Amino acid sequence: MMPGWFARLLSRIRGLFGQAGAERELNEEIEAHVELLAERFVCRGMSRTEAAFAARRQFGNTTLLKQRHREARTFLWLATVRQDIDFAIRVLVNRPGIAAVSVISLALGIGANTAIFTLAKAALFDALSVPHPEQLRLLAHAQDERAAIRGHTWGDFYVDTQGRTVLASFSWPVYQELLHKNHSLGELFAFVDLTQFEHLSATIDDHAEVVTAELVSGNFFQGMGVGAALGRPIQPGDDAVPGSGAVAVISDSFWTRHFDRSLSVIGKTIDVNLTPITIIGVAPHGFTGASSVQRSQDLFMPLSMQPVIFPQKAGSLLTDRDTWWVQVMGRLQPGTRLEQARASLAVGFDQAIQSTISVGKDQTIPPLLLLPGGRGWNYAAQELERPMPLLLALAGLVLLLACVDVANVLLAQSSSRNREISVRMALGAGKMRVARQMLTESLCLSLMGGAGGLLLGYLGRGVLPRLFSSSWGRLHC
Amino acid sequence: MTEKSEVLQGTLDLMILKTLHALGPQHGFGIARRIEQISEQSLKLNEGTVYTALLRLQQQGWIHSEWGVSENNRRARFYSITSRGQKQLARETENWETISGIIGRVLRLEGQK
Repeated sequence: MMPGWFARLLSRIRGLFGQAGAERELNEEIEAHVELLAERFVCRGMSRTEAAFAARRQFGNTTLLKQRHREARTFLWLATVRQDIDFAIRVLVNRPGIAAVSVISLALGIGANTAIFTLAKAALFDALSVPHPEQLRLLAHAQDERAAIRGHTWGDFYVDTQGRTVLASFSWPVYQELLHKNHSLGELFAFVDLTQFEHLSATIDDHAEVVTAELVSGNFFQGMGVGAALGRPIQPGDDAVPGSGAVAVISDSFWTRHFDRSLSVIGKTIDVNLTPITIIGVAPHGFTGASSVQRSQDLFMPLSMQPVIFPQKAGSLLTDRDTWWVQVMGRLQPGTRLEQARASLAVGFDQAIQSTISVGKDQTIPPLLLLPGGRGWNYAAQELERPMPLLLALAGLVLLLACVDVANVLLAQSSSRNREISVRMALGAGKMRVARQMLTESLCLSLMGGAGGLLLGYLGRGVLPRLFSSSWGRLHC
Repeated sequence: MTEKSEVLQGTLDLMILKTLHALGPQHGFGIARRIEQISEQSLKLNEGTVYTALLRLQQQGWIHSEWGVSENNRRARFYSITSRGQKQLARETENWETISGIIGRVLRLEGQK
């Protein structure tokens, strides 16, 4: 047997259709009833007019009855929501200024928030799209004034809470030493983001363009746990000899932009800074390299190509003991304790420093650090970690202000609408009905504001990181 | 007795069900007359409320309506009790008797202070 509530629900759903018919039938019933009542009164000796009045009196308030029926027959709110929306749109169109101010403040507030929160998420929380990014550790060292490392140190750094300069750059000879001495982190691999130094130009089918590139060690893809979506990744054989290995893996987006995702891209030759480079593979979609989570490098090339692609006055950086320029990452194997791994690697680091540069009497070898590497060499996050909560709070405040602004505008409007509301109440509109009308109008406004905000947020999402990244890129040239 | 005594919502429903059960299909006017007659004029109600009750009962599936022709050759809607309505009536009658029995006993207690 159908439960009672279900029967009621069904009949109300049926009531949604044939509203007009039901209304007409009820009218007919009421009319017939009242007439029959009147006839009875006439039989008892009343005049026709008297009888009609008496009948109405006995029957009660017909308008109220009809309204009750409308409410009971179906979901009244459904039937009148359309009316409310139509009316709300009319009201907004009649007061375009107020509508525009509200929608624009909401859109700006929501848009700014969406963009900033998207940026915050990318900078603070997004991980590299590789398997188990939480295992990745970035090698770094913290220098004070007495640090032995006095050569050229390239790359981004930040100052930690103890006032030490945390730098994640290593010289090539030190990296090589570490590679041999490492027993605690799985495969140590190196990379360097060239965009922080210079922009490369690439010629693809006689069409030149600025590209971004990351030089990576031969074991980089293996260490990251990433293969190639097409072709093959860079392998240890590619960067065996300095100056050799003129090959590149291109990013998915570069493949889409320049080669229309053509399968024949493998084996194609492009000129990078006038050096012919053969494309051997395409990185998986979403892979951004190790330096950034937000934007992908266009090209990944072996570090052995540094002297050719990115020549320096001093000659090859691959033999230079005084230039600290590559970033080194490794994977903390499950079951290995971080401090244990760090301590064992630090021993190797001390030896590597002592065998590559001279350490003076009053100089100290900076302590080795293993920073979380799951978000890349996230200089941005380190820099943003402190101002970000403030920025987010500020963005929230902006949204709050936008809301207050809209509330103010609506309040001012409502006091000028007193007259209209009084008339509607006098015509029999219930308090709830008027309140619902107001709510519908506000809802229309907020929906439009929300849609605008979403659009702005979507546009701003692309713009903000670009603003930030290009300024950082230039700052550290 | 006051001119219009308050009729409990459930009570009117019960009266209508009973009327339809006893007299067979009736239109709203007929039901109103029957209630008036049974209560010997002491229960005056806004007859419109009968229709609200009828709608309620119909939505519960306890009564069923059909358009027909009344005694004076007018189109009228006739309501009749369904089998589910019969069951409900039996349940409600029992309920009512229990409650009115209890209330009755409670009211009689007053004298034994």
